[in-house]
Amino acid sequence: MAVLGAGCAPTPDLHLAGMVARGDYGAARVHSDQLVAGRHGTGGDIDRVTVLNRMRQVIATLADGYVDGHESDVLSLFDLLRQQGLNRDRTTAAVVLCEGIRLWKGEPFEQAMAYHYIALHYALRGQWGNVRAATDNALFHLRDFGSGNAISNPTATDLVRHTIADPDYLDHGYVAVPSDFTLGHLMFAIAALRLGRGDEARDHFDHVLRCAPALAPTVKRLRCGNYDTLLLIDYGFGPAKIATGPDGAVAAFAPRTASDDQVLLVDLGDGQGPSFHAAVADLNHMAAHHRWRNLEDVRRAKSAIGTLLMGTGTGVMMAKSYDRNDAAELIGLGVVLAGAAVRASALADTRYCEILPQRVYLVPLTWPVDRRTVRLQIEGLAETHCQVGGLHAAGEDTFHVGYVRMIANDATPPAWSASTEVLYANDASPGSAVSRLPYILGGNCVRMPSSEVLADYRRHGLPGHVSLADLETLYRIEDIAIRPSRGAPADRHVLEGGRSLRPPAPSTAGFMRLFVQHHPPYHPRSGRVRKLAAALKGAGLTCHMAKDPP
Amino acid sequence: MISCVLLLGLWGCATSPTTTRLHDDDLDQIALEMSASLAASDWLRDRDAKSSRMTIVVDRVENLSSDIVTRAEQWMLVARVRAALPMQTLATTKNIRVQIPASRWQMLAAEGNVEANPEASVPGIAATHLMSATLRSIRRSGTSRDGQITDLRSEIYLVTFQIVARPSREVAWADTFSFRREARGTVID
Repeated sequence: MAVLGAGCAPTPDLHLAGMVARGDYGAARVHSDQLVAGRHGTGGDIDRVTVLNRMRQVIATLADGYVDGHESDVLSLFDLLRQQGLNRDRTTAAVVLCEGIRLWKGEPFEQAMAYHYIALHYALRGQWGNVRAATDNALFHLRDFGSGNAISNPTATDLVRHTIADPDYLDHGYVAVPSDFTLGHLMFAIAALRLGRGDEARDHFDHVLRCAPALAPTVKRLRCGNYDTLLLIDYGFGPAKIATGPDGAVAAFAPRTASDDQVLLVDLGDGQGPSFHAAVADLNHMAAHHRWRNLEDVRRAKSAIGTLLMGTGTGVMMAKSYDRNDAAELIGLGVVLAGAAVRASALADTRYCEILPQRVYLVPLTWPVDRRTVRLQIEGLAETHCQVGGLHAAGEDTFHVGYVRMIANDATPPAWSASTEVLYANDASPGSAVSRLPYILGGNCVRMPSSEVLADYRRHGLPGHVSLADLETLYRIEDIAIRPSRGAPADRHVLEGGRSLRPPAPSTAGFMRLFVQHHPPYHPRSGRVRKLAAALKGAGLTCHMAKDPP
Repeated sequence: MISCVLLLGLWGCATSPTTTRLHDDDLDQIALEMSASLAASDWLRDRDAKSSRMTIVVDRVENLSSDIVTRAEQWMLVARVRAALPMQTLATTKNIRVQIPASRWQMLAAEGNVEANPEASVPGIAATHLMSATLRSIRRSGTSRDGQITDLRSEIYLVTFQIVARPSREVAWADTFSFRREARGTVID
């Protein structure tokens, strides 16, 4: 029997987590795209982390506000999640060798969140049928081993003990209960309302009230339906998966961002003061409950230490809610693993999605007609203050969805998170900034070339001999993709030194990050663009954008 | 009236299916069966080539199933119905045309799913009837004979087509087609 050490499972991608923590979503998006393409030496067989990398890619891409052009990535993740029996032929090997051999599919709570992000992608595109389909898949029944028992949330040790007495306990000792994933139920209900299926929506709203009575105000706002905007806000980092107990046989989830009851304040700037919104999902709480765990560590730990537990003859210790107490229990029972081979094979799989948020807020509101941005802040956390905008123009009568991944570190938040003025004309939010001249020629415009855009440029001094074809050629010789082909690798926006003109969706943190802060002037690569930019600057047409960022 | 077309979602003999997601072939078969059903329906029995022109415009395709069906896939279903031989025959034998909104046809053409066809989508043409297509599904879970945990999932997909007359909104024709997909393996793992 080959014995693999603790290094057989890839470690969490702290580089990626750091980018997300700082709000550097563009870099996170590109990095996660490269993980999927296998361009990073992350160690190990990429197949074992394919689902994990896809999940990272979808989350990072949404955090950066990119929706259009990324449906294939989302569908790939959906396809993987819907695959049944992914580890059908790997269970025995995982028990004998190392659980890192298993194809990672995530704990049930991670899978539920993955489906949620798929739903969010379609919500941002207004495709409510697909939102409904994605969230329907997130609301799978859960295995409840505590139903009707004295301990409603048995720990891993409790379950190991049961499996010693009954080897098949994990397969039949549970009751299948409806999901209590309140975020999923709310998204399903909202989609049902948008599709005109009121009865279906009512059932899900009622279920949320049964699972989480504290969300009654949120349900009431959502149920009435008289809002034209839905904002989803992520904050913090979900729990880290760690190995605990003797030789790390038992997996536990340790919070990285602490849970609390702090509400989200939303200020529309209408003089009415902020509204208050409670979080609708807390991943710390989900991860702490056995219903949201796949219990594979229990299955393996039982194999490794079960016979030893049988021999101890000690009494049962009462467990608390967090798995950390399993470590104390097992040590208290005097369990000692004998032999390096047993220790290595017992190591719990500690792979997890490190960029999941700790909590999610869901805010329905009616966008103020004369406002372009609204202000958000988590109560008591001044560093979370940010603006979201780029949504409705005055008078529009459509339903919009916005998504913000709040920055979650203690450092001073970047200037763009509190700014309101859109500085660069863009296709995502036409009219939000006056389009003068192309950014690559020293101006403020990053719109895709078109006849209309060219007319704007000519009004602001672009020489008349520059045709639309000439304009497209300028981008091409600068190696900037005007219309990137499907499947092209992710690239940063030209404002950030990349080669893409594709804008993030409005009402996302990615949009604000890109368009409300100053970027360094563009440095042309080709002589032709350099010459034309110099001519425009010499004529005083681009001096207002020549300054470097503060 | 429900015409049940049971298409067993079985793949090759050697491998059990591992997903109950929709396949292109499923929608192809549905399009064929639907067009044949419509062409042979009582509603059109009394029509011939000299009947007044009937223009059916597809105005709505809705996904209410548990599978994600992209916009392009939704409208490709309709495009396949339109292109099916029985529907093409209706143009000459019953003076019936099926149109897809220009914006939707342009979407499909832009993605390379269809050829540019000015007759497929004529903007502004007066529709005499409107067609809608709705995709639904029913999910069932179970345990395989040799297993103890839930490791069987089956999905019954139902596609309902409906044609209503303008402006009365009276339902002129409707039919539902179903097929089933089954997969084995634990979903959570």
